[in-house]
Amino acid sequence: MTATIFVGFLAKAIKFATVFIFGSTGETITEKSGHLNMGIPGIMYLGALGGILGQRIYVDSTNGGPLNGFMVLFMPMLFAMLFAAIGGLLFSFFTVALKCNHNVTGLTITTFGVGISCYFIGLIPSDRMSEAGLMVQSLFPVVSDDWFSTIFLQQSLFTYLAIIIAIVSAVFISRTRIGLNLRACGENPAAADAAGINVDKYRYVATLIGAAIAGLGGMALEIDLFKGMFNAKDAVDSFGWLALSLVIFSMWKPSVCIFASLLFGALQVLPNFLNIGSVEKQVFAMIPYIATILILILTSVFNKKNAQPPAGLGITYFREDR
Amino acid sequence: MNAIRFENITKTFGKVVANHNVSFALEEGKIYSILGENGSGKTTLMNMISGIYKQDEGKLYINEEEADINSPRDAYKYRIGMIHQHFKLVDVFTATENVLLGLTKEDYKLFNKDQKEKGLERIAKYQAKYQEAKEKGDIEGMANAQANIKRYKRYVRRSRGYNIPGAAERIENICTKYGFKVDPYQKVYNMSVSEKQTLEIVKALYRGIDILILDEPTAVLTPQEIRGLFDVLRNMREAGKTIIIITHKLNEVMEISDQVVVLRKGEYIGTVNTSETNEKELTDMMVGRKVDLKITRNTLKETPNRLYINNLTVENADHTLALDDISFVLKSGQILGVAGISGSGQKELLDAIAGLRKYKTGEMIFHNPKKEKPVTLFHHTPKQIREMSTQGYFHDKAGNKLDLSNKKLKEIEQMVNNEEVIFYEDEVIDLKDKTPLEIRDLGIKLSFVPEDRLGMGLVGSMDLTDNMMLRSFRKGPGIFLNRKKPEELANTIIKDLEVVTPGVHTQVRKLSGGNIQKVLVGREISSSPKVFMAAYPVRGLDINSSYLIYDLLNQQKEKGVAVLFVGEDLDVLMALCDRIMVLSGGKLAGIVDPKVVTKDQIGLLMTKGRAE
Repeated sequence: MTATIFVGFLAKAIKFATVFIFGSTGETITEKSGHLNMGIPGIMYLGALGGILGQRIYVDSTNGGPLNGFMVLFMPMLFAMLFAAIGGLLFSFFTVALKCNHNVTGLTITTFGVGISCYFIGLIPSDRMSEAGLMVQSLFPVVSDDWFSTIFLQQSLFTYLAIIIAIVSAVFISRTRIGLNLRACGENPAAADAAGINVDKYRYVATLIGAAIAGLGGMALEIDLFKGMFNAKDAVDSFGWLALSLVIFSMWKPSVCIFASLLFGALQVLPNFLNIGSVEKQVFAMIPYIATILILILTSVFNKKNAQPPAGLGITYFREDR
Repeated sequence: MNAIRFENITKTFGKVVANHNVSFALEEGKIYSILGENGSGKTTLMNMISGIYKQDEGKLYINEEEADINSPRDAYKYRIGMIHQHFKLVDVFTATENVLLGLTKEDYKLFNKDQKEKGLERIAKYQAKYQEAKEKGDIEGMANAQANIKRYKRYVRRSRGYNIPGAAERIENICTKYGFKVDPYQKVYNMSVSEKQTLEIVKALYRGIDILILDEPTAVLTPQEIRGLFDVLRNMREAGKTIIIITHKLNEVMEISDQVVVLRKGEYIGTVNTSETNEKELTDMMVGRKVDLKITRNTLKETPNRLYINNLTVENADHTLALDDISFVLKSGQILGVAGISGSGQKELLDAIAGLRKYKTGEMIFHNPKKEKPVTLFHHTPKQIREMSTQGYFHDKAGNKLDLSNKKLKEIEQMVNNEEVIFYEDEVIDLKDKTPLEIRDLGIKLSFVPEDRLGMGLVGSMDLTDNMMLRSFRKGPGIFLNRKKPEELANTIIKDLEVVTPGVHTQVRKLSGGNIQKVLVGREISSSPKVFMAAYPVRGLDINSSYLIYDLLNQQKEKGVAVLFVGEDLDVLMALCDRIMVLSGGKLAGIVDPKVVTKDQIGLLMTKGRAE
């Protein structure tokens, strides 16, 4: 009995971890370029809006006919990435072209994204959305009931995609030429510029891609976890804030982020599996933030060079500036 | 052939004209020095060739072809590399990663063409050998050839794009060719300043540059390191490269360059052959009038001890020792120079004295001359009184010192009772655990010119008046600020120190480096300090401004201020200071008399105790 509960707990934790992996991998890519995008909660909300809208458009286009498995996955992803990328574009435009402060711009994007998405999500009708939501899950049609398939094979495609994206970005950032240039933009934009790297371009592209990936997180939450049974109270942004702190928690390493996300996911679902009151649940909800603060304290106490944020993080770069 | 030719180049920043109608040419395969005062537009001009700025008017010719340089990337296309005063290196990267930064696929193909061709050639050669061995039935030879084929296949593979070991190999080849040392896998944050500079040169050479520009390359090096750098530069000249050095140090100009280009106030003045000129002539050209380049050193007779530093030990954040058991005495009316490689603990020493940094062990005792406070004699033993009489604690009513050492104790007491003499005593204050504010409130004026002018000394985005107020904002009626006096002070400083600024309401960061420094030094001196500490006060200043600062330091000294001067130019330190303290890796390497030691001896002390 307890074993079944534990398996269910793990399976659920991985589902939540998916959201975190998307969110923090996207933000890590952005931050590696030196852009401190605090708009991630808003951008994930925009992704959620895009996902729901995409799904709605597809479901409506079938006119009540059968749903296609590929389209059910593809349409929300496309729209989520598009909507989230708009958030990233806004951020880059403000910080690169207009040289605005990163923190202020990011928080503005968050407020904007949360507000606009909350409003429009409430307007979208939810009929047949749960049907599509259930289809998203059934990637492996024949699965047995043993623990292995419950945990690892009954996840939605989004989970596998998230892990692949995290691993690919880890390799990309640390092992490739472009990854090296990207890190240089975040560490010392003046040095990167002197070496002939187009810092603005790198920052634009990294922020756009990062935002698109983070947007997938918001979409996965609405389409997969809530099975299309969304409402405006879902508070995607709280996942966004956790994704932001996950970036610090995983010390700007997408590979570490996979495991850290699993931990955060587990902390997220643990209260539901324990027989505790609402106050204790609130206390549980605090743990990820406390853990992040602890990591911040530890990294600054030990001052390890490879666990530090990019040195140029949050600083706008202008070549002719003194 | 001309490597670079400027034709009517003009560049303005807002209302400020940085370069006006500059036209001259630099020949290939020579070492040039560009000389000029602050704001003469040397760096701006060089930044235009290296793609940091773009000229407003005029044309640039590289190898007699018109060049359009819009970014550092374009500059590399024209085979131009610049080494900036502040190194453009990424701290957390290794040397190799820094070198590879920003290279494109095409670059790799181009740079590694030789490697690829050589590899393919060798593969063909060993394949032939393999066939030969196979025909003979020589199994050992076959295996040998196969191993070599494998080796060169890897060698060719390495030439294809991003590849750390391949690049490291190429870096080592460059190092052997020009005679310097770089560990390709060392992280930049573990490197010394001189190693970082070498890496910058390697970075430029890796990209196959023909023209190398160095902005103030010797500012942070020891004499030995400078000699090493010059050897490298001469090797590069032998290899046909054109080298341009921007510097303020005339002796180095004379030593290294073939020709000197002089700029003044953004305009081109002329080019002279180094062998046909001298330092005096160059300075006159630079300044545009006759100048007197002499640092005077008056030795004062009375130099009472002002500040005792005993066994001072300061720790870094990571518990390594920034200062290790430093002891010395700061005397009023003397300039104590501090020499050492940058980062040897100079900053920590000044921070500790100014109260900005807590120290682990040791003590700092400040002897505050308190003229307002006559002390009666009755608290002292006869022996103490006799000692004091020789140390000049007794004054007449006008405040002049009296020498009472030949008088008897009774006589002294009689004179004190008759109020013929007034007796003063220095106030002895332990600076331990005092905050910077408390130190000031106690009347101890530690004026401090931090190394980082805009980081700790001034607020860049505030104007001159507001920056003056940083020292006086506590004075004023009630909660309101007194703006009048700071503005007067700002005006006085602008007048006295010849600060070039549109007005007192200009943001400080918009001034040039030299002018910023003048504002900072001027403000600190205005508070009539008793101890004056200055760290690199002439860094980035031109000759004229530098001598102005040296004069100011001398004036302070003659007023009886105890001056602590952290400098980098040993010639200046030796001409200006009464004593020189040499720091090496946080340890006191020695306190020497500049009148008797040589520059090389100081240089050796600077590297004493360092792992070679």
